[in-house]
Amino acid sequence: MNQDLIVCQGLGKTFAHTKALVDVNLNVGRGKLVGLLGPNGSGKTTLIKLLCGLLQPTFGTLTINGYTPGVETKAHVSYLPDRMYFADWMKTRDLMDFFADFYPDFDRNKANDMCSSLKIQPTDRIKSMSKGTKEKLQLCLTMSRQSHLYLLDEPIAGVDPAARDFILNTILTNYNPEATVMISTHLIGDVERVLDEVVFLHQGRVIRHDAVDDIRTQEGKSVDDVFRDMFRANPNGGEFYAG
Amino acid sequence: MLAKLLKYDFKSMLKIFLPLWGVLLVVSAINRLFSGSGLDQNGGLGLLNSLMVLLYVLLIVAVMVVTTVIIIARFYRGLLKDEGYLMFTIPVHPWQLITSKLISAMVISLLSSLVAVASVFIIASFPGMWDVLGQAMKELSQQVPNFTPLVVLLVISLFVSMIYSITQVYAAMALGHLASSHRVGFAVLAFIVLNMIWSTVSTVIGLFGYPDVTDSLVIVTGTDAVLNMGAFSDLLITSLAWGIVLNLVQCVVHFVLTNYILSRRLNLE
Repeated sequence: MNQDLIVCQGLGKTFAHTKALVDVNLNVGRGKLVGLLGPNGSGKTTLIKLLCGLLQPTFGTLTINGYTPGVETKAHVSYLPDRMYFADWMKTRDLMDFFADFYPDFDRNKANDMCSSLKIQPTDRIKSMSKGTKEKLQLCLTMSRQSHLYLLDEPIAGVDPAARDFILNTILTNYNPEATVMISTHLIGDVERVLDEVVFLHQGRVIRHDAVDDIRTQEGKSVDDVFRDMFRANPNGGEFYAG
Repeated sequence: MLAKLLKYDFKSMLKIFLPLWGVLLVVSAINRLFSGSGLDQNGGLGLLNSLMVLLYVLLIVAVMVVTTVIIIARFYRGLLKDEGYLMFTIPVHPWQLITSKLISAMVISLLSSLVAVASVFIIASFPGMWDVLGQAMKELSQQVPNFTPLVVLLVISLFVSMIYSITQVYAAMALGHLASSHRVGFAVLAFIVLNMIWSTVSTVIGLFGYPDVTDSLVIVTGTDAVLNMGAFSDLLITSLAWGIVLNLVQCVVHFVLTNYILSRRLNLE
């Protein structure tokens, strides 16, 4: 078996006229909490969509557990998109049935426990839930799988600080320790304390991939501060300062 | 996995269709009661009767429109919009997703047609109706040569052309998905272009694919001209068979195209 869980070689994705990802070479091991950091439009979502098989690469190769994304990887990759994917006719129970039917690694009892702690009833119509509740429900289902890889796209964007804590705790207390969790975000301050590694993306390129401890030791400041210095908003065009 | 996919596709569609079909059948039964009752058709009762007839006509139209709209919406919203984020990350192949949508759409169309036909029978039924129908079929089978093969081919041809229409809509939506914006507009355009391509193909086949039968179709004796039933039924069988073969090829082209785009070129917004 391949030592690394994720292996990207010369990975690139081009949409019509925009290069969303350019020559990404990235190896990510098992049992890691990885932050995928970068400003808006840096390619975070594109990389996650390639990993979960929602997009096909334009260039290069990508494997998860030695497989190119497909039916084999989808059975072991748990993905939280940055939007709601519910069909509006579904009740909570229908969605649980759906997960249980299609994902062999779905732990229904765990999902039930999480939902009852959120006071979500199995007969609740998803359509009539608040946006925050829907997001939490989607996270609970994602984290109730015993997957090899969890891909969480902006899980804490757009929620209040209390919900943010709930979400981070849910992630930390529920992921399978053998598994790798990749969290994309631009709110670094909130996730920094839990991350093992960070990958900085800028204009579709990986500009840094290091252990969080190493960054702190080398730079003498928090990852959040490194990020702010790197991508400091510049009124004259937003150049980035690598260094 | 296909069976599981079908379970959810049927669940989402039947929630809409079971009530709709039920209401249609109930309204046609009410109409039947009115027309068979011999009640005084003047005054309030007559007005109610007219309203029921109007309601029945509206419901028949509604069943046809809703069937078409839901078939399109289940594919578009269920795969190409936000729900696609779930459907394309479960461990199934895209062809299974398309097949499930196609089978459920076919079954729903067939059931909608059957319910519509049943409602007509409910309203129009009279004592001894089945005997009359049976007699008519018997007459036809004696008059028309090759009656049974004709009917079988006609049924197959209706069925295949239904698959053809559904897969054409799917292929058009998949082609529209290739555009980076205005995807619905491009899907409509793709549908029209597909129509033009296929009608050109069938015209070309029509020009060269048939034996020349114009001379044998009509038998002229003196001043009388009689339709040659044998040649006529032969021509019908040939054109039905050609139609079925062409439709099957078109279905395969639509399916392969849709599957290619959803597997290799998927790009959910």
